[in-house]
Amino acid sequence: MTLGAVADDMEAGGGEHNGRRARFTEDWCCCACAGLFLGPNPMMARYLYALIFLVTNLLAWTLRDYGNSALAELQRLKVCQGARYCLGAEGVLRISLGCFLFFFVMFLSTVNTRKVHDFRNSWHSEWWPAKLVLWLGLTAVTFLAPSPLVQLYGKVAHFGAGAFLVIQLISVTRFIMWLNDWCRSEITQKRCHLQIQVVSIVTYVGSLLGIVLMYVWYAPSPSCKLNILFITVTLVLVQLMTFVSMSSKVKAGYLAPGLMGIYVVFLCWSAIRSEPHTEVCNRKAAVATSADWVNIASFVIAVIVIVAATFSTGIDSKCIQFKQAEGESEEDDIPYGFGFFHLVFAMGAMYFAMIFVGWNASHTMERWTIDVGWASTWVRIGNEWLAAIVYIWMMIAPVIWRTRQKTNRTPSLWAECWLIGPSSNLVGQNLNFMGQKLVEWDKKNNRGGKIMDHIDESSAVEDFDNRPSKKIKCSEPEFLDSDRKLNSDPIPSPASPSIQKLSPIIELEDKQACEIDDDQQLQEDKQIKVDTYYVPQDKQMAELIDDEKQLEEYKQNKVSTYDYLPQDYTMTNLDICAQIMIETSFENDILVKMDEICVKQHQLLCLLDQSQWLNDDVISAYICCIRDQLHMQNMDDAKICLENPFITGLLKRDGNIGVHEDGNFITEIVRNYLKHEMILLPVNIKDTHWYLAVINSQKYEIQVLDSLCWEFNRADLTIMLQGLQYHLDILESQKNLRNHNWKDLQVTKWPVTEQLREPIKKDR
Amino acid sequence: MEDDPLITLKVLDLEGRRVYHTMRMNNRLQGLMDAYYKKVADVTYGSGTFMFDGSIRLRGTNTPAELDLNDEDEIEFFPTMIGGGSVGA
Repeated sequence: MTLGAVADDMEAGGGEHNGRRARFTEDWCCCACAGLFLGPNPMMARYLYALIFLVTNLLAWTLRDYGNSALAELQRLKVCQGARYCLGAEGVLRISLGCFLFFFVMFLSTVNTRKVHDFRNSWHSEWWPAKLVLWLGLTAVTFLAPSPLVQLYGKVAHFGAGAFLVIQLISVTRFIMWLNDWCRSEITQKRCHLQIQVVSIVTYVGSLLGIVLMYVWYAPSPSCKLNILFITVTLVLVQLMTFVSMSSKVKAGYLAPGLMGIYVVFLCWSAIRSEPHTEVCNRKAAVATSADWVNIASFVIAVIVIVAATFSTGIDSKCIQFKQAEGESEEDDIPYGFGFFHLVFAMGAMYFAMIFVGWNASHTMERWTIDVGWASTWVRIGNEWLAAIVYIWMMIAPVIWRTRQKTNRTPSLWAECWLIGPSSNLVGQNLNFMGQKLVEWDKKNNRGGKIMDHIDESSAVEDFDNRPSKKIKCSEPEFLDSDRKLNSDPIPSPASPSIQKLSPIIELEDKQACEIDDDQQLQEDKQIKVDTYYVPQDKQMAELIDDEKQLEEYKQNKVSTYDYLPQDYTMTNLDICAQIMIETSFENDILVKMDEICVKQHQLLCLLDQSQWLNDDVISAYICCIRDQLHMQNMDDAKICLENPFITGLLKRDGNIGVHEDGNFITEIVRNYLKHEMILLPVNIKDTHWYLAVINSQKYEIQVLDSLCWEFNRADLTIMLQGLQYHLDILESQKNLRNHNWKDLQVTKWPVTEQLREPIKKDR
Repeated sequence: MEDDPLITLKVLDLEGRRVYHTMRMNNRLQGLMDAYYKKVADVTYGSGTFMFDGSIRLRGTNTPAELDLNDEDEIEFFPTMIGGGSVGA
């Protein structure tokens, strides 16, 4: 059972409860004006179900206390063996079993009903004669059941009743917390601030007073150790709940702990009252028994409380749902979950059986008593403690999650990640999404395109995918439905034409974003710290400042020239999912799969761990993502060719050893370059560093984007350009070189310009 | 054995070293990779990428027939390229 989900649900619980209140008034109106048995009205039906439940309760009680008068009739039934087994505790169990079966059948037949015009709705709300016959029939059948079966049911009923108590307790706790939230809302704060204060104080003082009274009544001598223990634990729990609610991190106000205090004290009181009346420490209760009318009244109230509790829990079907319902409820939706309603009543049947027999089927109960015996006491005490724990957990769980991770990593999210995770290409898609986020941000801020604005928009339209090399094509990511559900962000719409001209720089930044994303995730993971990246406007590069001291420096010196990338980036569910996947997979699990590229878990660790390195497969996968984004934005006039690091490696090799006879395919790749205006080549300095070289055929220059600004270390670039030159020479010598956009093919003569003047990434 | 001919593949790494390996079309390419790693002592076993035509990756479980490799084809070997770690160079 995910309490966390319940806690999450709490935030949105207000509206739903309001609805419930509104429905209550509606109900009464319906009762008054529509009368009974008119049309399939589920709101009416539930009162009739409650009535059936009440009648069953009274029947069980009659059988237990006054069963002897029915002796004559029952003697005819052979199974009952002279009425020995059909009366007393077992009689209660039989009645309860009949009631349980009835509601369980109803549960099975109505579960998952969603709309009012479903015929199951009319089965739920109409057909009363048939259902009455069913109920009476099932109850009668139980009297023919063999005794061992009934005893077995008695054992099962313990668990059913326990589950009922837990659901009821969560329902009550949720209601109290909703009340608390409602009282703290601004409008109510203004209108009845004073009343709320008074109620809070009264409830708190009341619970303390109740504890004092219990000490006086139920712990008259120091020998009553158990009672003293119960009451003291209650006192501690009340104080603890108050303390937790008031603490600076939770700030839940005063009302909820006050009400919870009263509830807990009430549970403790009823637990002590459940102790057998013969106990010395429970004299007060024994005194109460002597006055008959008080006893009868309290019995009747107890029965009504059982029915009311079952009823109110039954219609609160949202109290144990695992996640928030998606979407608005529609008009023809059923007003409450029928299946859950009947399930609660079925468990309620088990509960009342347990209460009437004092949680112990072999034990005989006094007349007019309800839920008395040591077993009952312990069940109630356990219930009380659980209530306090649930409340405290609901209070602190969000805080714990908030501190551990700025985002809410709820258990249900984990579960969902794992359901969809291993089989899907989740991490890969996420890389893609993170890239899109940056692109979107770019568009929103209308940045980019300044240094690259020389690109002539009217120049030739080329399809960058239309290249001769075999099979270099990234598949479009396949989105699973569940992924869509998880990812709250819409997939970006295709770029508008006005934005298309910004694309070149966006691509450049995305290349860098690979590293940025790494560091960003890392930050979110490791410590809560200012994770900011700055963008020097003049250089148009995304920048990460991962050091607070450095950040201060930048703020002082560069405030006017720096633009901010989204500092308040909160990880989406998909981001967290990806992180969970990486953290929990095995070293050699393949987490990213894009066509030919497979990235294993250990290669992705660079996203989470600063000491890990970025390898060629990760770079390739990310480049694949960028290409996909180009595709998604209909950038088919791509003037840009994004190369993968392996081809760069081959060019470098050819620069070193010269072109050999089997290198024809490289020449073909280079021939494709001539169709583009910018070739983006990721260069690797062996075991050290990645940077990006841009062959800019319109400016006749090699632009270098190096996050570390190692201007002294361009040997790799020179060799690579030499290799490229060899291939260009071959192409030039071939007569069939058709018209291309490059006016000059002597790339080795082109100047190399550094685009960055200050390092944007620091090696530590 | 006529439908499973012998072919000779050549591995060329970025340093310009060539390793030849003769195998059957339906044998697994792991043999070729093992042969390369055995010949070239300074490359850690299993640490790089084998590619054909700069785009088709070779996996040990594949066979030349699956990847449409022919006699005398050249396979490129790329040692793992890494960068961007936080250790100062």
